[in-house]
Amino acid sequence: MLEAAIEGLQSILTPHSLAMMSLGVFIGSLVGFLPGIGGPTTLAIMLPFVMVMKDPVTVIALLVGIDAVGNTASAFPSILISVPGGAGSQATILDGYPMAKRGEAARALSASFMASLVGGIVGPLILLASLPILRPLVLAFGSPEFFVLTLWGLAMVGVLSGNAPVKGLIAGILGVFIATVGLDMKSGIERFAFGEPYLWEGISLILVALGIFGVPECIDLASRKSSIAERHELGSGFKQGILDVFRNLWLTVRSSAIGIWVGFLPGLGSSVADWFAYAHTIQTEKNTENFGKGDVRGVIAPEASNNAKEAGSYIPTLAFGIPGGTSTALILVAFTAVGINPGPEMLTTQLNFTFAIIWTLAIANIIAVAFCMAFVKPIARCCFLPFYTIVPLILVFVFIGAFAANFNYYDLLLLMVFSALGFIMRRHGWPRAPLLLGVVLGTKMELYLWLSYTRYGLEWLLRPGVVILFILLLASVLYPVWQGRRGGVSRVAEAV
Amino acid sequence: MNLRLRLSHLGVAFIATFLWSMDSVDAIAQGNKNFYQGKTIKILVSSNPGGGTDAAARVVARFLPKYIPGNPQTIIQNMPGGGGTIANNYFYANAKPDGLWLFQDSSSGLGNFSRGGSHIKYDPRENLAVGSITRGGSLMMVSKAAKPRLMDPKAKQVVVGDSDGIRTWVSTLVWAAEYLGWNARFVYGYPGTQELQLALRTGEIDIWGTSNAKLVRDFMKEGKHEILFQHEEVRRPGFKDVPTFVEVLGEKKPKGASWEAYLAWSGPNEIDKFLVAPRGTPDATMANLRQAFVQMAKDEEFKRQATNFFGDAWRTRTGEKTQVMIREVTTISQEAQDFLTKIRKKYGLPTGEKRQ
Repeated sequence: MLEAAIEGLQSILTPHSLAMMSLGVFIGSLVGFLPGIGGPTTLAIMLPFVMVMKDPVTVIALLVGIDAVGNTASAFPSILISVPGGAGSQATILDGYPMAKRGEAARALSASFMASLVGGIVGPLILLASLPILRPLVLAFGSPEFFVLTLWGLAMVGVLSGNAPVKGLIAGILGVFIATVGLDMKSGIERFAFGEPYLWEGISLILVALGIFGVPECIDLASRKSSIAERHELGSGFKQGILDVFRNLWLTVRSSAIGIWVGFLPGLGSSVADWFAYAHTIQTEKNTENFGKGDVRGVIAPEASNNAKEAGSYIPTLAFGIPGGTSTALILVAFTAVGINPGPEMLTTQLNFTFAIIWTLAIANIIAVAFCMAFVKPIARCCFLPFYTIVPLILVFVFIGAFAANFNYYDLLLLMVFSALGFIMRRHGWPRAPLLLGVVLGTKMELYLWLSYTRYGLEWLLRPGVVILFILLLASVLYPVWQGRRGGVSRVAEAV
Repeated sequence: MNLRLRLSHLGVAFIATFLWSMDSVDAIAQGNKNFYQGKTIKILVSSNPGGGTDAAARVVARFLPKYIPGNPQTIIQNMPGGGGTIANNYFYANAKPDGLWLFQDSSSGLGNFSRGGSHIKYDPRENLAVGSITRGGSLMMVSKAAKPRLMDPKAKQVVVGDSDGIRTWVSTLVWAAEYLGWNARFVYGYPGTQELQLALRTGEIDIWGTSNAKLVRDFMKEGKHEILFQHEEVRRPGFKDVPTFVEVLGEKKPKGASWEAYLAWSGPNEIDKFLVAPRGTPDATMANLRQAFVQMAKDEEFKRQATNFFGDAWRTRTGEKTQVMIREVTTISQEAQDFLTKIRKKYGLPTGEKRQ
């Protein structure tokens, strides 16, 4: 194994591979910075180019490089303009943007990148450590266990609802309802699509996220006639953000582990890790009264988890050739085209390629963080721009993000509908995060409940994995209540 | 004089018309030749990224433009769901016959159409086939631990897993349950091949079928599964010791409406992954596309990549042949259609008439 590890490292450290990896990091970071485009779209665009390449290591360096860092630069728009840079950076908005408004954009960004670095290195390390047990690890989860996990995710609505639990619950249910729009994936039967082909594919999560968070903040800025930041100085926030991560190192490692865990479960999806980590932070940390108002821990946790998740999604890929998500599915297509055989051979005859992937995941993250750190100070200054400059800029970002995915004008119409909904919710103190969470988890929850019931009847409730997960779910819901009775605050202080 | 003048005028007019028409023909020809230059063809795919249909689309997207005059670009849009129904409905309703829309579908889309139902809003016979890639018949894998239960009616039923209950290979197991008394039930709803592989490994399902020989060999190496039979007329190279389904049926093979219904469901397997253009696409454009597909099939690099993706039993069919086959496998009598609905209902599979 040591020989394969060294061979993998040597193949990645050649000038050609490093150049391709750097190119991948640059592309991945740029895409992360621009809202709405997303890693899978970029990888799909890259496929025709890489399928003609002859050297498998070059393909690994380029594609894994793009995939590893997409969630790093996506913190820029999430923190600075309240627009999620990607599906994995939605929870970052909840505390990142309030920090930017407080004049702490540099601190939030440097904390985010440092957490991404830790997550990006802890992820491959855990992947490396779990190589011998990859297969039993993946096989421990079936449809019933996935269902309980999605239920666990929805239980987070409680902690995201702040002082408006009923409104939060209704918003969560509305989110689940939105997720049912379109053609039923099992049978192709139409649901709430009113015969309109545009709605057959369902409502895009990115459109909902851009609409309910991005545009209402623009309206708020324009009505206040102010810049994003209340204080016009960067101060020592840059260094402080880095120190914040080391002060909360245990939280960062825990969040990275959550990211890995979500990543290796094929079926949970890429947009869940940051929410799980965020909820875990609120449920387990002390002094939670500032969450939702700009607590740096609310930035560290999702950013560590979303980078670690990328390494996690390679676990089923390497163990069985089963992609952990859309990005890894596309990378597998490229691997097959250049002669890498994803599957059991990755742990035997092609172990050098496996190590090349692990090294790329780690090294790409280091390059990406160095790259992003260099831009923190100049980009953070955009929070000082007057509203008449920054509002049109944000709107351009939001509308390009909405249009870029499908080049469909209906997307812009739907964006406006969700923008109006987000504005009304914001104005009347309705929490918006639970709605997003309902959209993220609704489809998966329905799918795994259907599979659990049709496969096992009611027996699925007695499976050991299900019982254990239910106990953990109850503990995670009841622990904050118990903690609250002892004097702590158990949920986000403000509806977000 | 006047008459001569008129005749000469007529002659000049005729020559002018002839020259003009020749010029027009040349312009049209030139137009066709340059039509694709700088253009982008959108290929809609009826599955998630990463599966066999997607792989077929991506290999074609890479090599087909090389042989289309003007060498257009290609982009791929995945639209999974409902065994291809979502993408089929979308393509049928929205695709423009301008030569810039293509659709990569699989046999499930044809099976869905034969099954019928109010949500089927397309007719695959009206699309124009560019060509098809067949990977060989599906190989049915069963867990060794579950296999003894297959013939024991008192034991717990063996679970067959599928994404939408309409894959062509599912037909073989329905007919095996009906005519051989196999103790099987069906669970559908898995999002795709990846989830089904995982479910077979975790024991959530006991039987699953795929055409992907490489995948099957991976399972065999793990030693926990074996191949029951193959869904193919003749035994596939590399799987000569595995019986075909018709061999397994033996004397129990039914006749009449039942067999016609079986063929309507399982027949599209022969076509497998096919590429079509929307109805109304101009003949000249179709000729270019079909010719390009034929030339692509001879490309050595295409052959190498296709073998990487589909194993060594794959082959291509021309657009004309694919078109004929699509019509053949989607033509079904009312009696057979009714039988199909009845038997699908009996085994808890979606019938397309109403939500199950």
